[in-house]
Amino acid sequence: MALEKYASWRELLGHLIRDTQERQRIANELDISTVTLTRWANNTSQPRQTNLYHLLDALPQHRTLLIELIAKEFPGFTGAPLEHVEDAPPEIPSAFYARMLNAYSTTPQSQRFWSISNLILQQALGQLDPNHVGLAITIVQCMPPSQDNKVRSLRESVVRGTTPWDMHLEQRAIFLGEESLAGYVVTHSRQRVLQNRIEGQGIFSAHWVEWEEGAAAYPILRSGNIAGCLLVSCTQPNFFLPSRSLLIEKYAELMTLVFEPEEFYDIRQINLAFMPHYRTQEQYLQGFQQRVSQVMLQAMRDRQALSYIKAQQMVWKQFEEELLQLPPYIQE
Amino acid sequence: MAKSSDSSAEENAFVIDESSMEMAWLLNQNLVLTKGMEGLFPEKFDLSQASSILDIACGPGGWVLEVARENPTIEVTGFDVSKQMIDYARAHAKARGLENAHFEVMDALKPLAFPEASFDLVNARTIVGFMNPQAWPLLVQEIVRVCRPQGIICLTEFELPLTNSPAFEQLSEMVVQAFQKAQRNYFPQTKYFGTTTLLNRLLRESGCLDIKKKAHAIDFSAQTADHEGVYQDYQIVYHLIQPFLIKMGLTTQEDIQWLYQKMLAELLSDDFRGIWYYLSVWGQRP
Repeated sequence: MALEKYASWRELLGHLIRDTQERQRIANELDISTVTLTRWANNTSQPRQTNLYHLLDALPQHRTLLIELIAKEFPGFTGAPLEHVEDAPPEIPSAFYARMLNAYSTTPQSQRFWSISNLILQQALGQLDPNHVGLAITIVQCMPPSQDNKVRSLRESVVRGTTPWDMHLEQRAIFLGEESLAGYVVTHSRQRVLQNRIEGQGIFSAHWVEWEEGAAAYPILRSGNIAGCLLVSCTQPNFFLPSRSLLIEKYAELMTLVFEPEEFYDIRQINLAFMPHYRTQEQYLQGFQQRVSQVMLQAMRDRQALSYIKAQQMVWKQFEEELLQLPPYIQE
Repeated sequence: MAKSSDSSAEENAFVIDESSMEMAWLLNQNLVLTKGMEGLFPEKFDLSQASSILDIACGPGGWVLEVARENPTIEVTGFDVSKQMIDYARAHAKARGLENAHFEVMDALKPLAFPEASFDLVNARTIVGFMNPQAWPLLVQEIVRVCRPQGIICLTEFELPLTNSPAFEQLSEMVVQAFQKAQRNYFPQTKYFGTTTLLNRLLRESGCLDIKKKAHAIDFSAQTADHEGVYQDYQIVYHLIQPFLIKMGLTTQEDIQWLYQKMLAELLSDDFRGIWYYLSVWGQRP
């Protein structure tokens, strides 16, 4: 059959991989299994965009025809050099939205924050960093207002990351203020992206943490009120391409399910202080768990019902007050 | 038993009711185990010639997805009795573009719907939650059947941690008693699951060769790197298992809540000490 008579790239591929050696060769070059190749040919699987470009490289003698046929199924496919191609992350699956709504409606309030935030963060990490280039996603939460009814700081409450960021970083849980990217986003109630360490200089005195080469933050909003933000850090600069940024924004919208209504604050209540450098904070926060333990055990001795969550909130508030007394971090 | 109206879940023998919280916990536990084992496998298996791997009772698919990601030329399949878990796992695989990860709804307590000699490696990690002494040999027979000759069969199980927290120890003892009442325990009169003592014999009696073992010890004492992860794991699982303990008549809602809060407080103390032991046993299918 003349190659020009193939109606689709899948049909062409199916013809080419009838030869088992050729099938294995192509699979090896694309670093996929032969079964995956067969699925493409049978139209039972959708290849990633980057794999389509690799396919062109593996079949240079059919490049022109392949580009023409692939473009029939994927309009806009031009065969452009790979470095200009973004593996555009797909939408958040509808099954995941359904799962989150189910979690919201069925999980006891005491466990809802942990359950939903974990599910969202794991899903987000899987979509945004499938190749483990190094990403950390943090839920940054407004601290309850002080006596003047103002929110004075934010706190990193849940973190999930791929290497080099450790799996569990809750013990790092740093307070953030006006000096930070998260503080900027919460104060202004709009997202901000720093593609590299040079951007943002002079706007706020953000201190970059180890391995962080790019960062972005997206507000978590509900009816115009704000609970905090979703902070994403990457080991690579220029990671936050438009489609990724849009996807993160959607995850930030999903985060609305994580918080209780009373944890969203009027923007006018946001009056963040400058917080101490995170290395200074770490020395204080090492005693967090012991303090929570003491508060809980004391409550039990007093025969008072005090949940782990309430005990944590009390101790976080104590730490906030202590840290607000320390010299703030202001980058020169 | 699960209370879901999903017909597959009605047959779900897991002691924890199916829920989104359970799903989040399983995903989290998968990360804890992999970190504690220092990898997805107990040792660096030679997978250069492998084309297919099976995971038994995969839950939401965390292990399958990671194996698929690290081995793009291998078809990795996971199955679970829960359709909700499988639907979630499939959506997750699609969202991550893992075309070599596949999921099926299937019951590990029944004959597996795979042809003979389908997989180069079959893995079963911490399935004690739904197994019983009679089911183990039957499952291993099925695992041997679907594993290719000279393929690898790998079983990993655990005992409850050793700690200096009186509340944790009391809760753990209650869990073991509940398993005994439900006839799930291999040792009927002790305070252990006993499953780790079973693994070597199961593989040996099934004819496996070159059987090896590796023990993993996760030190989650206060101020260790693993404390937070294991703490979260037991914070959730000892919440999830409370309905089972009440159902087995071992405690009341009020008492278990009190004991649970005490456990959380003790685990956060600076002088908390705890170690969690796992055992992996693997062999070659003849």
